[in-house]
Amino acid sequence: MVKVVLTSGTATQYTDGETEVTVAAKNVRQMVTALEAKYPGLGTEINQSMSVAIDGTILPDPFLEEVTEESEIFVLPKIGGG
Amino acid sequence: MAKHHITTTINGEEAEYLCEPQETLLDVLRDEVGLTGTKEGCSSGDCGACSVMLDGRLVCSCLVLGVEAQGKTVETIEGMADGEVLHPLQQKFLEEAALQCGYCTPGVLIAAKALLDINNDPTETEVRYWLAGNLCRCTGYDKIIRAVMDTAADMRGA
Amino acid sequence: MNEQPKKFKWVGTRTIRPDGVDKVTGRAMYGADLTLPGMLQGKVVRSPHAHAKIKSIDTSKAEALDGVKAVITADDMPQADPTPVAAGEAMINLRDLSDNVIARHKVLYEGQTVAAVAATTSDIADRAVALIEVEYEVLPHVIDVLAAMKDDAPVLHDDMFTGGVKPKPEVASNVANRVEFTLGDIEAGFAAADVVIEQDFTTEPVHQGYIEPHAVVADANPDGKVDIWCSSQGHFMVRTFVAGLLKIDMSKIKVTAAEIGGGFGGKTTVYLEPLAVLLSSKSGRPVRMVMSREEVFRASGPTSGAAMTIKMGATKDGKIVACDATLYMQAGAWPGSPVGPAAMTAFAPYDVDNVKVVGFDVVSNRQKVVAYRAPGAPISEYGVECVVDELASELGIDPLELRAKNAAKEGTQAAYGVKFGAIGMVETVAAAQATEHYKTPLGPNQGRGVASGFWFNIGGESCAGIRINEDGSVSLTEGSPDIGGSRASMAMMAAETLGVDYYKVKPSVVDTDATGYHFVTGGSRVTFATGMAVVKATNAAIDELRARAAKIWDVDVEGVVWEDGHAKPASSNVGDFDPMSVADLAAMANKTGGPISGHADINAKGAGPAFGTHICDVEVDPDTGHVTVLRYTAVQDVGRAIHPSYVEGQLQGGAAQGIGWALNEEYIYDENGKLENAGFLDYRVPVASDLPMIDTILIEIPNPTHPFGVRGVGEVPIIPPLAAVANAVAAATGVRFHALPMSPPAIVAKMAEKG
Repeated sequence: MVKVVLTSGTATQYTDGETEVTVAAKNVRQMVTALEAKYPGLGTEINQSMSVAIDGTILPDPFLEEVTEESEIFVLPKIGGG
Repeated sequence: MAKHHITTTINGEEAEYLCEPQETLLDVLRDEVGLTGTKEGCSSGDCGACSVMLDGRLVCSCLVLGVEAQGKTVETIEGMADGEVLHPLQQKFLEEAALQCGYCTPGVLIAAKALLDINNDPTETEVRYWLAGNLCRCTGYDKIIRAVMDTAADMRGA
Repeated sequence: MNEQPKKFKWVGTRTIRPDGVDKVTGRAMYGADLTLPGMLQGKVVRSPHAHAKIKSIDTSKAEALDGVKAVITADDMPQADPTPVAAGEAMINLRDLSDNVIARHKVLYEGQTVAAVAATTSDIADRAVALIEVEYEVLPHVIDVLAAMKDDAPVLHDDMFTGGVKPKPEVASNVANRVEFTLGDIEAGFAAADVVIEQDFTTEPVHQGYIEPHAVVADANPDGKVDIWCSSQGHFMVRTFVAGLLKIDMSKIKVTAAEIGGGFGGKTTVYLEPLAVLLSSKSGRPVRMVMSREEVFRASGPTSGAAMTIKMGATKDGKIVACDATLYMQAGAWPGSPVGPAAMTAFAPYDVDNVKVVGFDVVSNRQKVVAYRAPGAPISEYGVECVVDELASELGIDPLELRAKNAAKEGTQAAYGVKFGAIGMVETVAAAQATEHYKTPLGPNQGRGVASGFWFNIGGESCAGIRINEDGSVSLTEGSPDIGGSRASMAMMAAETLGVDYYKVKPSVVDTDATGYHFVTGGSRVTFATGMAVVKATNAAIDELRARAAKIWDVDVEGVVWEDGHAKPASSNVGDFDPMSVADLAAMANKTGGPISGHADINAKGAGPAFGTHICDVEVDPDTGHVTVLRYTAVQDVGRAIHPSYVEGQLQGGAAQGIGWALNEEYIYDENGKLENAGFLDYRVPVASDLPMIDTILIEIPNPTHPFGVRGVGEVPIIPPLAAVANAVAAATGVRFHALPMSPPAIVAKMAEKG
């Protein structure tokens, strides 16, 4: 099981306000699929409009990155810049 | 509307063009003569990107009509270097990175040269006020001011 | 400034930029500088109303005018899908973008495009614009962010329901989205605080103010191919948006990046490009469109204005224990203010256990905001840095000391969740404390302010190609529009990696047919991400060069090393061979397998977060309210300065823009929602005589994920100035200003209030 921290309301609207959720996954692809199954809409939202940070590195297009029980995973809004 | 036939001198060479009476010198230079080094930033004389010399006077070419150049001399950025040899200001701007996007640069260089032609030892304040009509949004002006003053120092030493 | 370690030959030096001579001689071709045979001039019909229904558009008189070759309205645009597409700062909806390019049923701001024409001359195009008759039904409008949130405010989109709240609202409103970030327990945090400061702040929308107006030339061929030449921060972005809006295959669109005359985020979207393509295909001729300065102010940019409440608590020994912020940010006519990054960056410079930030993305009848340098961060960090100053004053602690005490460092968990790696916040504060500037005494009516700032920096897609030419010179191709000297840094990184003379490397920003997808030039990503691609491509070329040497020497490739621009035997066991230079190997290329090159196509990860700390001295004229910036120092952790002059230039330019934001720049509307200051005379950006020299101190704490340690530098320097200036004005006057800009009338009014 991996622990996923949802820091913004964009994500927690799908979890009834829950900010920490756990799912079974070995990589981001599995994690997003599992989140979608558990909280319909959340996986789609992540794919469309959010980044995932794993152990301090923000990934705008995460997919195959490995995650473990020790990983610190945060779901964030996408960041661009001027 | 009948076009006017204008004979003038641009960067030391005789030039002729046809222009509408309402066309600005900026539009004429860019569209009729093909000298696009002079830039348009505002068309209202506020930004200085279109600075050129007209009979030895620094002007915003967006505030001058094309017909007004009749019989006069026009100097633009394209005429600043002497063949392959850059003007000392151009060279110093490159060495000191006094440009980022480069869009205001032609106007700044024309204006700076006009200053150094009349004052070879300007203070920082004099340079800042002389160039106050040339907007630059990239550099914060620091390197532009330094490059102008360093060029002046070099030219005095030469 | 830190001098470079000796190990680099080019990185850290002040080379002449490859595009420099073109730019000081007027040769460089910007957006409006291209002329094609038979080219028409395109112009736009804009809404005179802030909010109105379009009842009808009659183009017949314009079409009948001699010299008019095409007229278009929204009916000529395909219906766009509501698909999210990556823009400069966030995802945007193609349907919203389509309406912003040309209004379909309703206009949502003054200056919105409703039709466009192409004619043989500008003059005829202007006359055609005047002949287009649009019938409007004017609707009530709303400009201000807090007014737009009221229950009785005119609603812009009747299908927009606030996202991010539960339960989903049943009534449409102007609040597009709510975001929230929390860390720890702020109630417990404030309970533990000895001092709590809570203040409200407002900022006005400000324009990026690039000196080059938006410009494009489009040429649509009868076979469906489209060539676009334009000034933008990403020609691939232009291709994506034009393809999506006009439903054209990307393979049919070629976009060439003209030189770009400034962008600062404002050229990360499209306005004219789809219109020029439509006009070109309708007329069968190339079309040039160029915005006037007035159009730039009315219909492009700016960044959000905002209202916010910032509350911070600290213990009496100066430990910040709780932070709370509420941000209301203007998005313009469609959703998409940078409220997410504003909320995430607000307290990021500090190591605090208990944080809560709530942000609202609010639409109103003004043009859609677009990215502006560190989108959102200057706004939220302005309020926070003012309150940090107030805390310092209340606690009797030096403001830099308070920042040092609470600075984020490696291992600190940011409020937005991420734990920082190696970062330089502590070092920027220490360097600021150590300056002579910080210790210099001040005179009457003078004040000194400090502030810090944080930006993430980003990576993203970039590609690079290295070709070794027959004579050993190097051609470098990439696709990130060069907005301020990036060709130089790319060539320097390639020269350093390959071990050749920088002046033998020629970098080119190539068109969309000639390289792979690049994300926009923005987010301070190019030197980081495209630089990473360049180094990777160069290393691939080096591997090929080693393989060629191995063939020539008849040894295994493992027996060949690359050192100082030469293939050399790895050890004496390999054999006794003279080193071969790039030119030697290039000369033999045909015999060893053909041309030599290296390529890399990457999605760069691991951008390095960056921090800056600025010191500002001002003098306030108590009679006129004029603020003179006397002295300014900008300190920043840049990771590694590839070209120090252009890095310093980023700090200086960002500081100048931030000073303008603090002191003068604002959008002023009349009661009908019409912009009153759409020109450089009344929208006053800093001019040369407004500013002092801007001293820079570059701290280099390398980003471990980049081969040379690059973090990205362009965004951070616009963040601290707003509060640094505000804190300096507060110190000079003894009055805290809670609204930007602190223009002379605002200062005089507040000083009179104080008496």
